[in-house]
Amino acid sequence: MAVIKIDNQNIEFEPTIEKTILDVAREAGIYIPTLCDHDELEPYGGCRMCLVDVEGMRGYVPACTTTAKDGMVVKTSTDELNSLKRRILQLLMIEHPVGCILCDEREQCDKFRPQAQKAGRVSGCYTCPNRNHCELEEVVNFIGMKTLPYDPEYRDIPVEREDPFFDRDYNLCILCARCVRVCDDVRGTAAITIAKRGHESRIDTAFGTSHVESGCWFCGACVDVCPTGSLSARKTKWIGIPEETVETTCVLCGTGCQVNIGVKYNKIMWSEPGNKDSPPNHHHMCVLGRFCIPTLVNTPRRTKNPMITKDSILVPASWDEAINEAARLLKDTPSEKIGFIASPQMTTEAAYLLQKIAREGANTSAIDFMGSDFAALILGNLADGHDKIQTLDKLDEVDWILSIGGDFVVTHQVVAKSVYKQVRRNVPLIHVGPIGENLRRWASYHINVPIKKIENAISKLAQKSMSIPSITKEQAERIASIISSGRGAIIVGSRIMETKNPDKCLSALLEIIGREGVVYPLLPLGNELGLIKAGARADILPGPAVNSEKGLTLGELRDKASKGQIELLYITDGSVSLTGFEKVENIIYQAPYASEWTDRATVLLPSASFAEEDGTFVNHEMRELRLKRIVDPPYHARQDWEILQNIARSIGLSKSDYKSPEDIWNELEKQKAGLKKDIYKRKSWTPARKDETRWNPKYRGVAIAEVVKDLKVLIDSLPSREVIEKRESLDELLERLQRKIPSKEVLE
Amino acid sequence: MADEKIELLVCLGTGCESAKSDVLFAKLSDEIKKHKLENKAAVKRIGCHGLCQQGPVIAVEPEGLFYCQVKESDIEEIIQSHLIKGKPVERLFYEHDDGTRIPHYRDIPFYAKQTRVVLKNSGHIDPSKIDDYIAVGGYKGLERALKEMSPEEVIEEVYNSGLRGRGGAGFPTGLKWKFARSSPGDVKYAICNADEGDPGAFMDGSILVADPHSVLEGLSIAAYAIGAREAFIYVRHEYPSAVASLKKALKQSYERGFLGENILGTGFNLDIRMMEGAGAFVCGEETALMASIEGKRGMPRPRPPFPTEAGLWGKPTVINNVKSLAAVAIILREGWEWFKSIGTEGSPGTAIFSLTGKVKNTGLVEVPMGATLRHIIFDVGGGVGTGREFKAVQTGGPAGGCLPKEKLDLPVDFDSLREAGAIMGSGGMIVMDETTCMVDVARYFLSFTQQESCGKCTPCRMGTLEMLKILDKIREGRGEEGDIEKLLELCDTVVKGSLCGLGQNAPNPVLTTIKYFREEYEAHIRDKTCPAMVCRDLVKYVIDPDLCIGCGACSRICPTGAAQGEKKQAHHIEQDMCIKCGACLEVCPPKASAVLKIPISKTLADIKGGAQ
Repeated sequence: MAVIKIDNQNIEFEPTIEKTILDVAREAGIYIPTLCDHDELEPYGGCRMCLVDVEGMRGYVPACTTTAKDGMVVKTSTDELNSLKRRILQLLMIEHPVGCILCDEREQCDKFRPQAQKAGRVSGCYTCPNRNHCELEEVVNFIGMKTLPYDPEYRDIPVEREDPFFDRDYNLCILCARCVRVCDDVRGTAAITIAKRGHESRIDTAFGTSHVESGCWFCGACVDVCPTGSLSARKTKWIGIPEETVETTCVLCGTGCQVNIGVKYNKIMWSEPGNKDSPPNHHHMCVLGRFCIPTLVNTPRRTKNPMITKDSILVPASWDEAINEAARLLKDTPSEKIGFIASPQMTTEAAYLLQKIAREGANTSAIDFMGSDFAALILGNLADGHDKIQTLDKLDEVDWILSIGGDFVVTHQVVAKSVYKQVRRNVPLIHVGPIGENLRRWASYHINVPIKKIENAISKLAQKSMSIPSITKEQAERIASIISSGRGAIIVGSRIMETKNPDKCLSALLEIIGREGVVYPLLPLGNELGLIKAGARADILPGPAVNSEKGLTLGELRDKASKGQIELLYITDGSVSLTGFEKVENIIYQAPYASEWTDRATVLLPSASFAEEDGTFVNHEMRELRLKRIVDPPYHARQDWEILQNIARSIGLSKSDYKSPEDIWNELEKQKAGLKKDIYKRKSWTPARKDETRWNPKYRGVAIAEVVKDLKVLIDSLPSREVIEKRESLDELLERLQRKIPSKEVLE
Repeated sequence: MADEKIELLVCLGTGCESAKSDVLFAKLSDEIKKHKLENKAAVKRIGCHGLCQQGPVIAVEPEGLFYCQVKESDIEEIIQSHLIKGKPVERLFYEHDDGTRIPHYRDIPFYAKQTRVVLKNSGHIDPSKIDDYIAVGGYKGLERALKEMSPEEVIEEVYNSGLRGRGGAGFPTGLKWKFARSSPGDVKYAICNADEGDPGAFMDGSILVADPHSVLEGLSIAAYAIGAREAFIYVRHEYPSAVASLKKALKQSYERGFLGENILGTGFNLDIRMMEGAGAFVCGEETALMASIEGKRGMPRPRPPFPTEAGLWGKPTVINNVKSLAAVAIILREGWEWFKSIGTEGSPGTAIFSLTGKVKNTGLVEVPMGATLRHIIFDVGGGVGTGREFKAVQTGGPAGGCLPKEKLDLPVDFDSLREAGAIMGSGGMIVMDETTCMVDVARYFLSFTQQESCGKCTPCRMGTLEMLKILDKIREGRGEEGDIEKLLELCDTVVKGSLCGLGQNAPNPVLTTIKYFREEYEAHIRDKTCPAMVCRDLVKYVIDPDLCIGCGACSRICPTGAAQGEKKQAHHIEQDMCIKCGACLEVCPPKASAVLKIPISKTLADIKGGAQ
């Protein structure tokens, strides 16, 4: 233990090279003002607000970058130091609007101008997106700056609104560079930088291109670290403060990010990353969770009323009528002619009830869900009790990473962030298969083969072969030496299902990482593992346990339906293509969104979206996460588990009086079985559909980009971010340009 | 006995090259071939010889003759008279103040009053030939270090020599190496900082062009001493000739086994890579330079941790200036005692300056530490070349200070300069005469640092801008009482608040000009006059009708038509139209001298009245 004296207070601390004076002061509850410092970022030392006086050191030193050492005597405030900080702050405020901070009338302003002003730019106080939580204001108040002795200089930079999702008003920027650092050091995107020099320095993309062109993924990390109102989410900046904020789980992919949902006027208005301590995402998100949720939940495309078919026309009905009609259909149809399709974006509890209705009510195991093959493959192969599936923070302990079957920078940005952390500490990343720009930059080795051929590449890796396509013998040697020692991690994407034999592929991967290695499956849809646990698959019972009874997979169900052998289909996932199911007579469609299934439905049951539903979710780390009912479902929609419970009751299932999803969860827990190797014994896989290969996330029947137009801009830019097979050198480019474009054409 | 072969050394330093010395070189080579004089004479290219003012220069060895301001048309005469007839061309010799010609450069005061240690080879060896360097004792220092000494002994040697960092801060080089050596870690780096960006400084660039191997040798010794396997030279992109010279030198060093694996058979391995800067002044700051090598934006970071603990890619790193490393090679060759005998107790060795401005002999100067400013400017530099009074000298580039004539007897070393408010800097020295306005000078240097601020920390980014605004105000005659105090307060904020040396030193020109020339600021503010008659808004041009001969030269050259008048009649200047370019003053025939530059608040009558 070492002792440091800060403002005459002796503080004991454990000295390390990383522990700074600022850290020690904070732990002791001593406030030192900071602007550029952020707990996720490395110390920067730019804002000069944390300057302290250390005995024996020349001049003043920034507390944020100076390592605390035993016996240091630190003063955080002296008359001269306070005066210096005030003068620096005054210089800082020359370019930042000061109305909101120094104006005598600002309280009246807040009181008497309650309407949001959608002005194009911020020049005063009320229109700043950060007026309710301004870090700059806190520092100004602490330091006690009362006047600005200089002429304010409005930078007069046009507000940048051309890019999707967030606005950038660099007139408010104080150049703390938090955004640049989080983009560069934490997310590994490096879409922005500080451009120009002197007082013209500003945040910009390289060569001033748009963010879409500069490779921004719109993860929103920059918006979340900005201490001023420079960066603000466009949809929510004018709404004010949430009445309530609730942390729940995002189900838009298998990561299971914790997201803080803000509510106002009983509507979901904000989605921001969950708290810093909440795994797996620790205050980071991707574009879907950060910017798309409010629009997605509030879209007019939601299903509103229960409906039933009367005289071949779908008409609104009461819930009782609709439930009874559904129950009647389930009872009247012969069990071999009924099929069930669950949704990987349902709660585990709702999926459990659905399979219960199928197995106990309709007496069939014909139940499956989209994406179950990949989930079952993963669980089936990893079921030998070695804790292969681990939490993301365990990545900190691995010595190398092998990734395969998808570009997680595109599809799973939070996983990408965790991987980038390892890339930054020089953990070799070996990628097999096609990748985009970012991953290309991160990967130490890239085995560039088409997805169909990754199986071959992996088996060669497993055999430590020296002739691996697309890389040299020397590279192969180095890869072989990397993967034959230390602890490895494998990040496996769902495109592994496109190979001829995914089982063999995964076995080879497991052989490479050995007993100590860990696996991170990139589940593309959401709660796939939860649905496996709930038994929402023909060959798996709740627990999960093996089902020896014969059931139907999604593919088999489709085949049978196309032959007219299915009379009733109970479907809760509108994202499943209707193709093949045209001949089904009766369809019970239970979903929060209208889709191509709506028009075919015999019974339409409007359900809640994930932010309106209680329940649990199992993410790719096998972590059970909570979904919370933050607001009521809109119109007459109800939560999935409530609807399913009512149906179960109507068809007379033995136990169907659950009071809450917790009751269901408890019942499911009792059936919990240890995973066994024989959980899965399938020989063939449903071939992956071609149109699903490009990232275009869907949520229960709606492609998110159809609802959130800004997302479409990003998705449309994706082809340009895929790797160009061979890179041109500048000379080659010039030569090509000269060859292809004769000067005459240029003149024309 | 055959006569010793005559060597014609053509200076291809930047100054001479821009005066077309490359043409001279080509022509000399051709002519020698043409006249079949190959056995008698040889042409050799050399780096900066030093006396740039007289460029292009050609030195003739072994006699040590020195031709100045050689033109292409002089070549024929040199061939005919000197090479064929053996009679040197006298009219091309250096012209002394009294009109006599000095044939040998060693007798020219500019050279005679210098002590050339680091610059010893500059202008004498062909920088493109490693053998030339080896012939004058090159790589002896490296050999001694590698074969006879342990790294600790090398550090001890450099420490004992008392060498202080020539980049400006003057930190003891040996101590820096000791820190880096004792920092834990297997991977360490040595870097040569050749990002010389000060306006008016050209020492490092000249050494790299004239004697690149001395720097490579010094860098190799540094790498050996601290335990580095890899070293970098960070040279600015705007020095194409230095880049070319280094490239060639690196190639030769690898070929000769002074770099690469198993150097000189000692088992020591070293790779030196050259990095080109992209034109940011701040990259001369060591932490910004390392960020730049790492591929990041060149922005400084706070120290500690110092580079010797965590430098390039977080590894212990030693970063030294070009001149320090060149001196290291000499210390290892000649021994620390010899080096320490030069200069002063606190600052041993020599100081190298690029002497520019209003001085007779512009050029590269090396004197022992502790020599006075007067010695450098008057004895070596030949005094103010314009025939006017000396006013001030700026040392240390844009972050240095302006010293007045009262300080001319100040000994030049790290500590005395800092005490006087200036800094040694990397060695720029700009001489100013009485036609220089000190407010204008301060503004010039500040505008440079302001533009080159990286923008990271507020005091430097915004403080220098506010200072600049006040200086502009004063210069334009809008100064108010209290402006000087405001400036001083801003200086204090910027000096104490800034992150790196650029900001911490940026106010120096303002601080020293206020300290030594406060009355000039006050004249601008109170009387709205510029004593040096430089500040455009405080002067006007008038024509004395009594003197004007009506030649019309002024009205012909005036770009705005402000100078008007009938032929053979007295002209006048329309003040509303005048943009104060001063062209009229320049073209007015000396016999008339009718155009006058006078303070804006005065009239012609005031001036003439005052004269009577």
